[in-house]
Amino acid sequence: MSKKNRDDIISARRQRWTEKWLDALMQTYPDESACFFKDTTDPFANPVGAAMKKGITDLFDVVTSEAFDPEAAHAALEPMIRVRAIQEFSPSQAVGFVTEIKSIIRRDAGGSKEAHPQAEKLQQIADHADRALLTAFDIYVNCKKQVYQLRARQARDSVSQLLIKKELISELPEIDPALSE
Amino acid sequence: MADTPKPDQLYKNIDHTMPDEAWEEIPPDLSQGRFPYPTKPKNLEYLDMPTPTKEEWSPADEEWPIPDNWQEIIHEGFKDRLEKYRSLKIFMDVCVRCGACADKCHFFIGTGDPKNMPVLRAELLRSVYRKDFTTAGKILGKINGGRPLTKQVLKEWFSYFYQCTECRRCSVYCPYGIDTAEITMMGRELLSLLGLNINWILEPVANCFRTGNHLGIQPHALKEMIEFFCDDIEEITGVKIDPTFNRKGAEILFITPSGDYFADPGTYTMMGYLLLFEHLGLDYTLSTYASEGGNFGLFTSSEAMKRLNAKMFAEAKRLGVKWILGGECGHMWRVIHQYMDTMNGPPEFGETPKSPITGTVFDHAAGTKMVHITEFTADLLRHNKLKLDPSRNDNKVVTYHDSCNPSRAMGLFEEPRYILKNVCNHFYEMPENTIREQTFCCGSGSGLNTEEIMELRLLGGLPRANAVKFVHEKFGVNMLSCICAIDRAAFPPLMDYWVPGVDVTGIHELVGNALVMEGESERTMDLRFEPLKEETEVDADE
Amino acid sequence: MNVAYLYSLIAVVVLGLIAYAGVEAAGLDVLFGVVIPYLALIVFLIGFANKVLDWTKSAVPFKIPTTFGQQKSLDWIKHNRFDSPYTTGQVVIRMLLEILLLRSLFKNTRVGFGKGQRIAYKWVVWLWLFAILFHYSFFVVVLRHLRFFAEPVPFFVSFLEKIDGMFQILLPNLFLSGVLLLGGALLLLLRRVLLPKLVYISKPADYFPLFLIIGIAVTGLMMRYLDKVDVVRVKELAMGLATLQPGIPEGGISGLFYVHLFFVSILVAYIPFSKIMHMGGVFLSPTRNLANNTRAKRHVNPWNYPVKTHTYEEYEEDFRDKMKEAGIPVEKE
Repeated sequence: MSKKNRDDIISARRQRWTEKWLDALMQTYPDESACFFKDTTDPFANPVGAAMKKGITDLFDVVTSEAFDPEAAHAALEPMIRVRAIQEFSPSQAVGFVTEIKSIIRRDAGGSKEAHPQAEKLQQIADHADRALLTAFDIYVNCKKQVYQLRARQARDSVSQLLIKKELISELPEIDPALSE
Repeated sequence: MADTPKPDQLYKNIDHTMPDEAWEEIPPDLSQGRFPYPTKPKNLEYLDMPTPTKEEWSPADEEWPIPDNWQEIIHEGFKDRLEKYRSLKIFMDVCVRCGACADKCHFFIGTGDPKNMPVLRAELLRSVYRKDFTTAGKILGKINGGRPLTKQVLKEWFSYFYQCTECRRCSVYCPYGIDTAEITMMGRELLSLLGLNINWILEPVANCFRTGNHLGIQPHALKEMIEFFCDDIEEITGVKIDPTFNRKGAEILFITPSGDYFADPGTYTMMGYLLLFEHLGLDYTLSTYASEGGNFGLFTSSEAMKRLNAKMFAEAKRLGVKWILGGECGHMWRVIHQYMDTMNGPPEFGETPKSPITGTVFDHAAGTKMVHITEFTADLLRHNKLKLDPSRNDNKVVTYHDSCNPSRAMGLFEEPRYILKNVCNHFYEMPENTIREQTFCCGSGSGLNTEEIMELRLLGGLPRANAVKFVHEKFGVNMLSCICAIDRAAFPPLMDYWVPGVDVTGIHELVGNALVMEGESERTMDLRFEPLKEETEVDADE
Repeated sequence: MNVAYLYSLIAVVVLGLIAYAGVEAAGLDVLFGVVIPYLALIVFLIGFANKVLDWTKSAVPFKIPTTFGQQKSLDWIKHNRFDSPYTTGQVVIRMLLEILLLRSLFKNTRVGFGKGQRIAYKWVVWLWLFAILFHYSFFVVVLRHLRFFAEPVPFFVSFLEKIDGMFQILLPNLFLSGVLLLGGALLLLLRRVLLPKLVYISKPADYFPLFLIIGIAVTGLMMRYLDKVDVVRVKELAMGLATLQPGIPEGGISGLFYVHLFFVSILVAYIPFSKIMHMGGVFLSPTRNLANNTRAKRHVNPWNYPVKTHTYEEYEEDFRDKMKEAGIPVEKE
C-alpha cells in the first residue's frame, strides 16, 4: 500500500470525517447550544465553538499523520479540553469525543475494517486516537488542578483571615442554635 | 468534588445526544461546586432579614429549610413588586421571544446551558407570572407557557439568578430593552423573602452596615493599611504622603471600593489615587465610616442597597465637604449614577462639583454631587495640569476592558481611554464587538466572585478572556486595565487560566507610575516594586 | 421535539373552518359579520386601555436607562445623544429610531458566514429585515383597508395604493404590501420553526399570532386575486359597521370573506392578552424611555420609604476608643 494511496483516502474523507467528528462532540451539548457553537463563526461572539472547530481540525491532522506527535496532539487538544474540563461534564464525557473518530471511520468504511484496502492506515488512525485520548486525560487533570489551585489561592488570599489573626477586624459571633430556642 | 462515576454514567458517554426534554422538565444542577454557599444565619439575623433556619444548610440538600407558606410569601412578594416596578411588569409582558438576546450572554456563550440564555432566564420568572397573574395564563395554563411555582422551580431560580451578573448586555440587543439585570434583581429579592441568598453577598452587606465597608475593616485598621501604602509609595518615589481621615471642612470626600485597600492589584490603584491627590495638593479627606464605595446591597434588594448607601451623603454632610469624588468601581457607580439621589437624596450638603484645579463645573453631577475619578482626571489632563512621564509605563502593553456597569448604566467610555492614552505609550483596543456597550462581563460580577463557583466564573469570563488573548497574541498586550474592583479581583485567575502572561491593573495605577511628583527621587520601580526597565543582556554582563 | 406549533396551527385551521361553515352552511352571516367584529372591537378597546392603564399604575421607582453610548460629562468629549440621551427631546428621538427603525435589532448583525454554514443560522442577521418588512407591510395593509371604512376614500389611502401598486402587474393591480406581509410573516414563522434556539423557547402562544396573520394574509390575497370577492358589498358591510348601522348586504358575501373577518376579529380581541401588547409596552420600557441624566436631576421614587441605617453616631459608639488611639477625629471625646 503506497503512502500516496493512504493519503488519498484521508484527503478524500477529511471534510466528511472532521464534520462528523465535530458533530459528535457537539452532540454532548443541548441542541440549541450545539447550533450556536457550530454556526456562529465570529470567534469573539463564540469562543467555545471556534476552539472546538479548530481543535477538531488540528486533531484530525494529528491522528492521520504517519507518526504520532505528542506535542502536536497536546496543542490540538488543549484549547478544547481546557473548556470542557470546567463545563458540566463528567471526566469521561469531557474527553470521550476523542475516540469518536474510530466509530466514525468504522461506520464509514462499511463492514469489517480488516477487509478494507486501507485497513492498515485506518488501524493506525485508531491507534493514534487512543494515544490522543491519553493526552486529553492528562490535559484534563492539569486543568482541574489549576482550577483547584486558583480556588485555594483565592481562599487563602482572603485577607480577612489574616486581619482576624491580627485582631484588626472583629467578627460577629456565631449563633448557637441551642441557645436561641 | 464529583463522586466516582456510577456505571450508568459511564454508559452515558456512549450515547452523546442530550435528552429531548422541554426546559421546564430539566432540573437545575445543584451538585457541589455548582452553587455559591448560602448565607450564614448570623448575617441574616443581624440585618433583620428573613432567616430560614439557625442551622447552616446546603442547596445540594433535597429539602430546603423554607417555611410552609413559602408559596404564599413568594406570591405576595411578586404581586407587591409588580405594582412597585413598572419595569418588572412590562418585561413580563412584552417579550416576543425573538431570540435576539439569546446568544449574547457570556454565561450562555461559555457554558452552553440554554437556561443561561437571557430569554429563558426571564422565562423562569415569567412562566410563574403567567400562571398566577395573567388571565390567559390562568385559563390556558401550560399551553400558554404558564407553570405552577413548585420547589423545583424555586431551586431553579436559585441556581440561575445566581448565574447572572446583572451586566445588562442582553438589554442592549433587545428591541424593548428588557433588562435581565432587573429581572435577576427581582428574582433575588423574592428568594430573599425566604432567606435564600448567598453568604458571599450577605456577609459583606452585614460588615458594611456595621463597619462602613464590605470587609469589616475597623477604623484604626483602615488607617494603618493606608499608611502601609504610603510607606511603599515613599520607598518607590521618595515622596511622603500623609492623607487625612474623617477631616471636617475638607473640600472633597473621597470614597473608593474596599477592594482597593486590601487585594492586589487594587492596592496599586489606591496608591495611584494617593499620588494623584498629592501631586495636585488636593484638599480631600478619606472616611473610615464611609469607607466603601461598593454596595453589595445592590445584589440583594433595593432596601439593603438604600440602607448601605445612606452613609455617603450622611458623611458628606457631617464633614461639611463640597462634593464627593468616587474611585474606580463598577457596581458602585450603577448605584451612585442611577439610584443614589432617588434613594438617599436630595443631598443636604455641598454644591455642584467644581474641580478646584481646573475650574471645570461638572453640571451633569449637579444633583448627586458625586464625580467619577476618571472624569476628574481626564479633565485635569485636558487642561495639562499633570506632569507626566508616560515612558515609565513602556514595559506595559495595555488594553482596556469596559467594565459593565460604567458602560451600560452610565455611558463612561471615553474618559478612561483618554487617560490611558496620556499615561502609557502602548495601548490597543480589543475587537469592536467585545468593547464599549457590547463589552463582555468578567464573569464574576453581582457578588459571584466567590471561589466555590470558580469553574462557572471561568466559563462566564471566557468571551472576555478570548478577546484579551487575541490582542495578547497579536500586539503583545501584557496588561489588562479596567475601572472595577471586582474586575481586578476576578481577572487574575481568569487570565491565569485562559491567557497566562497578562497582568491586571486599574487606570490610576498607571497614572501613579507616570506622575512626575515634586521632590521625588529617580523612579526605578513601578508601584508594584517591579523594575521599570528590563535588564538587558548587556547590562547584566557589566 | 417542540410541537407547540401544532396546537396553534390546528387552532387556527379549526377557527377558519368554523367561520366558513358557520356562514356557508349555517347562514350565520350576522353572527360573523356583525356581532363578532363588534364584540372583538369592544374587547380590544377595553383590554388595550386596561393593559396600558395597568402598566402606568405601576410606579417607576428608579431611572434605569440602558446606556449604549458616551454619556454627557465633559464638554470636549462628544456626547452620544441618541444612545445615551440627556434630555427628553433626545429620548424621544431615541424611541423613534427604535420604533421606526428597530435599531436594537440592527446590532444583532455581527455574524460571520463561513464555509458549510447551515442556512438556518444565517437568518439570525435577517431578523431585523424580516421584522421591519413584516411590521411595515402590516401597517400599510391596515392603512389601505381604510378604503372600506370611509367615504369618500381619504387621499392618503389612494396615494398609498398608487405607490403600493407601482409595478402595475396582475389584475386587479398587485399591491406589494400584501405579498410582503405574507412573506414577512412566513419568514418569521420559518425562523421560529427551523432555528433550534427559537424552537426550544417558543410556546403555542408564539406561533398562534403568526398563523393567524398568515391566515389573514392568505385569505386576503385569495379574496383579491383569486376569488375576486365583490368589493362593493364588502364596502357596504364595512361602512355599516363603521356608521353603527350594521347589516348584511343583499346577496351576501362569500364564506372566504367571513373567514378573513373572523381571523381579524380574533386577532384584534387576542391582542390585549398576548405579547402583541409589545406595541404599547415599547413606549413604556424604563430602560429605553428615560434620559441618562440621573446625576444631574433627581428622579423621585413615589414609594420611597425610610429605612434603618447605621448612623455615624452608632458607628462611633462602637469604635470610639480605637479611633482615638489611632488619632482619627471623633465627635464625642
